[in-house]
Amino acid sequence: MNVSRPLVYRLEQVTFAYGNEPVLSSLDLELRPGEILGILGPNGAGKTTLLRILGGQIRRWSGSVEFLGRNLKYWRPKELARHIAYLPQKTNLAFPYTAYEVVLMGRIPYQEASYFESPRDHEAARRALRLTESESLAHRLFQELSGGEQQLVCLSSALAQEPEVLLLDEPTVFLDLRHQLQICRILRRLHDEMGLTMVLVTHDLELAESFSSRLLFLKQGRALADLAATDSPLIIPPELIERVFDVRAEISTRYASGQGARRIEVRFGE
Amino acid sequence: MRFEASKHEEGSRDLWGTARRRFFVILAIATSALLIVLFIAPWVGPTRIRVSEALTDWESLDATIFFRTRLPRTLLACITGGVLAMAGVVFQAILRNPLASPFTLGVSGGASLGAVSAVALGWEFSIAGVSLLPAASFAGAAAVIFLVYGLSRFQRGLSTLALLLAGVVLNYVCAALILLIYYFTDFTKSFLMMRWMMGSLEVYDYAVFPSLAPFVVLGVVLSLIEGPHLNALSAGEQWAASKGVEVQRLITRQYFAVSLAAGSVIAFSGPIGFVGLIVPHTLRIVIGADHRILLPASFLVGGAFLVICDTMARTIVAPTELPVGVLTSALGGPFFLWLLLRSHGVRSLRGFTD
Repeated sequence: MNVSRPLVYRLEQVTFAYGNEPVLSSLDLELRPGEILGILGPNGAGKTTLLRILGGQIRRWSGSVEFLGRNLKYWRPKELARHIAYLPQKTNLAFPYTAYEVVLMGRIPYQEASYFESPRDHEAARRALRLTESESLAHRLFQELSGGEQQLVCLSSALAQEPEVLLLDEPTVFLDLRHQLQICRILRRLHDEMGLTMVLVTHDLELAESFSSRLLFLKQGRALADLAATDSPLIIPPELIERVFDVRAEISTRYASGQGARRIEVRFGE
Repeated sequence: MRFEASKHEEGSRDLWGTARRRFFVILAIATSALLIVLFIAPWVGPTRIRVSEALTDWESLDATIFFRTRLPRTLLACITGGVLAMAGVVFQAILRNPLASPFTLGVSGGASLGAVSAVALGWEFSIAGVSLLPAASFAGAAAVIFLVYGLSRFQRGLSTLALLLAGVVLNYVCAALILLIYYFTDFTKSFLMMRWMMGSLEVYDYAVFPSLAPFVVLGVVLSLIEGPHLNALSAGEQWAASKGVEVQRLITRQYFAVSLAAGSVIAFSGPIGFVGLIVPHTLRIVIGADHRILLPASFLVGGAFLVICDTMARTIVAPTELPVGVLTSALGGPFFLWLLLRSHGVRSLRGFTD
C-alpha cells in the first residue's frame, strides 16, 4: 500500500440525520488510494447514506469529509464527477436511449461549455466499452438489454467519467451468475491494472470477503469494526457477523479435491 | 479476432460521432418543413387572397386579411405549438413521466381560472393597450406555478413527487373553482368561458408578440442549454447527480422557465391539448430521446403541427371554425396510434412500462 500518496477520503466525526432520525453518528474513516472498501451491515445501518456522502450527493452532514485533501463541500459537482463515479444496483431509463448514448452521458462532467461530445469524449466512451467487454451492445436500445448487459453499460458509463474512485451500491444483486462473475472480474481488473479505489456496499458476505481489501461494519449508524487484509486474506470472524446482523453464524469449511472452500453459514437466532 | 474488432470499429465509426450531425440534419429538415408550412398556411382560408394584390397594394382587402389576421394568427399558432411541445418534453423529463404534459402541473388550470374570473367580472376590454383577459389568465397561471412550487418545497428539498402531487391537486382545485364561477354566471358569459377553454388562436394584431417574447425566449433558451443534463436525468436523480448534474437546480430552473413560457402562450390561446403530449412522443419514436435534438425539433415540429391544425380548423367548416384543440386531438391521436402500432414504435416506448 502506497503510504506516501495522499488519502482519498478522510472522514472525521461525520454525523448525518434525516430530520430527527440519526443515520450516521460520529463516523471516522480513512481511505487510501487503491483500497477496496466493503461496507457491510443490516438494512438501515447507514451504508447507502455513507456511499451518498462519499459521492457528494448528500451535503448536509456535520463533521468533516475531505476528498483528496480538500473539504468535499468545496468541490463543484462536475469537478467531483471527474474523480468519482457511481454504479447503482439497477438503472431504469425513462426514455429510449441507445447503450452508447448512456455511456456518453458519463462525459457530461467534461462538457462545461460544449454542447456536443468532442472526439476525446468518444474515445473515452469507446475505451470504457472495451474495458467492460461490451462494445457489441453499443447500438442497441438500453431498454432492450438484459439486466446484466444494462449493468455492463452503466459500468461503462461510470468508467467514461475516467474516475479514480468507483462507488458501487450492491452492483451484482440483480444479476445472474455469469454476469455477477463477469462484473467482479472486470472490477478486479480495473483495480489491479488501473489502481481504481472502490467502495462497495453489499449484503453478500462472501463477495465482500473475496473482493475487498478492507471491510467496514456499520450498525445503527456507527462503525462496529474495520477489518483490513494485511498479508493474509480477509476473513470475517463469525462473532462479528453475529454482533452486526443479530444472527447465529458459523463457518464451515469443506474440502473438495484438495481445494479449500470456506462458507459462512448463517442461521436465524436471537 | 483482431480483424473483427477493428472491423466493428470501422463500421460503427460513422454511427459513433453522429449526435452533432444528426442535430444539424434533423433540425434542417424540421426547419424547412416549418418554413414551408408557414409560407403556405396564411394563403389558405375561406376567403381567397390574391398574392399579387396582397403584396403590392397595402390598402387592398387582400393585404388586410393577409397581414392583419392570417399572418399574426399563423405566427401565434407556430409559437404556441412550439412552446407547448417543448414544454411537454421538459415536463416529461423532469417528472420522468411519459404522461406529463404542459398542463399536468396546473398551468392550464390556473390560466383558465384567471381567464374565467376575468370574463365573470366583465374584463374583456383592455386598459392602456394591455388586454385584460390574457393578463388575468397569465396571472392565474403564474399564481399556480409559484404555489405549486412553494407547496412542493414545504418539506426539506424539492421532490418531483411532491411537485407532481401539488400540481395535480391544484389543477383539480382550479377546475372546481371554474365550475363554481361557471355555475353562477349567465348564459352569454358562460359561453365565452367555454369558448376560451376550448382554445383559439384568433388574434388581430402583432401586439401579442412583444408580451410573449420574454417568457418564450427565456423558456426556449434555458431548456435548450440544459439538454445534456435532461438526458442524464432520465436515468434518475441520483444517477444524474453522479454525473455532476445539479439536479435540484436543474429541475427548479426548468420548471419555472417552461411553466411561465407555457402560461404565457396559454394566456392568449387558451389550453390547447395534446400538442405537448403527442409531438414529443412522436419525435422520440422517430429521432430518439437525445434532448439536445429532441427539444429544438419539438419546437419546430410542434409549431408546424399547430399551424396545420389551425389552418384546417378555420377552413373545414368555413365560414365558421372548429375549436383547434378538437383538431389537434382528432388528427394527432390516430397518427400517433399508427406510429405506436408499428413494432419499432412500441419497442422504443417499452421503457415507459418499467
